[in-house]
Amino acid sequence: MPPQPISDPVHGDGPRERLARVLRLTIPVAMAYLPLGVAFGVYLVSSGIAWYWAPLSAMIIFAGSIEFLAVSFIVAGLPLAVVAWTTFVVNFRHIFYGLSFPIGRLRTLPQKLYGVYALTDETYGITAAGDGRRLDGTGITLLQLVSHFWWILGAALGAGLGAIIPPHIGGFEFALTAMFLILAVDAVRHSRDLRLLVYAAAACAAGFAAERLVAENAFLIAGLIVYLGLVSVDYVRSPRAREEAHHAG
Amino acid sequence: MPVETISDGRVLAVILVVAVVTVALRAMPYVAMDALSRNGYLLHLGRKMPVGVMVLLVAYTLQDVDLSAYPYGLPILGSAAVALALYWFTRNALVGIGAGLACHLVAVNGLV
Repeated sequence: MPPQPISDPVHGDGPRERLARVLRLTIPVAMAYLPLGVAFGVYLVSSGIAWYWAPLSAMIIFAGSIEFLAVSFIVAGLPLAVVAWTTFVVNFRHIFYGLSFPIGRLRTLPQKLYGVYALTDETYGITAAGDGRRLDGTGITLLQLVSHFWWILGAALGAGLGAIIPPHIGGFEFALTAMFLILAVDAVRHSRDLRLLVYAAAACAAGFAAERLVAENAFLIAGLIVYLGLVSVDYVRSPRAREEAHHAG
Repeated sequence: MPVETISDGRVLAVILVVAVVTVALRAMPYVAMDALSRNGYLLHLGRKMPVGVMVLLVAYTLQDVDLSAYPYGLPILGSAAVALALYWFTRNALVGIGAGLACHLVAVNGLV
């Protein structure tokens, strides 16, 4: 979809045309958030959590994979400190979104606050690098609101569906594995550094060992610390890595 | 799992923690813009972490799969292979997730 002009005085487009344009931009987002939201709602309900937490979670958090993960945290009884740390590491990439998100175009404070709050992979992707990169402030806010709406709607529909599905039907938790597989493939394609897969394998091994030998729920902490350590050693020992980081950042 | 064992308070606590950390991460550049964009180590992490984090998360969801007893992990590993292959070749996330999930549901509820 080619980038559309923000406003076109020659063709006299007004607020309705702009709304239509923004809605069109959210179609790919809706196509992702609706089914994902449904999967999330069904997964949440099938895990034994009360149905209303699906739309509530979608309202309060507005992220994707981390909300699926939150369900597994709740079910596993993970301590809140571990939840915080894992969320920090899993969503770490969000730190960099602010660097190229066009917050300057958002004029009012509520818009700026919501803009930062609703900075998901998708809304960032569209406004910073995709077809929405020439939207004005109102367009950006509309885009985020509509995307958020699709997510909440999907979660609500999923919760409803989850309530109808007979309890002996299981296996919805696979949506979590599938989501992370997709994200892993994206990450591998994007990084083009195959050594990272070796580090990841080592981290998984460490996680397995920690979970079985040290403590329950230690898998992620142990794995993340090992991986972080390996990547950090890389940085310290390789001047080229430092240079690449500066040029890419 | 019975609903009564998961209290609303517990669910809310986890959701709030996740929300606060996520929003804090998204807001950090506006608080520490210079430090962030010039810190080589953080930038390096930003580029290198995703692969490991995502692979770890896949493994995290699969860590309890029992390979020694029937069905030997085949439903989930097979479905994962389907999702992986389809996404690799179609680059369409919905196709990958949808097909994998469908496979898994059929395998777990119908075949096993």
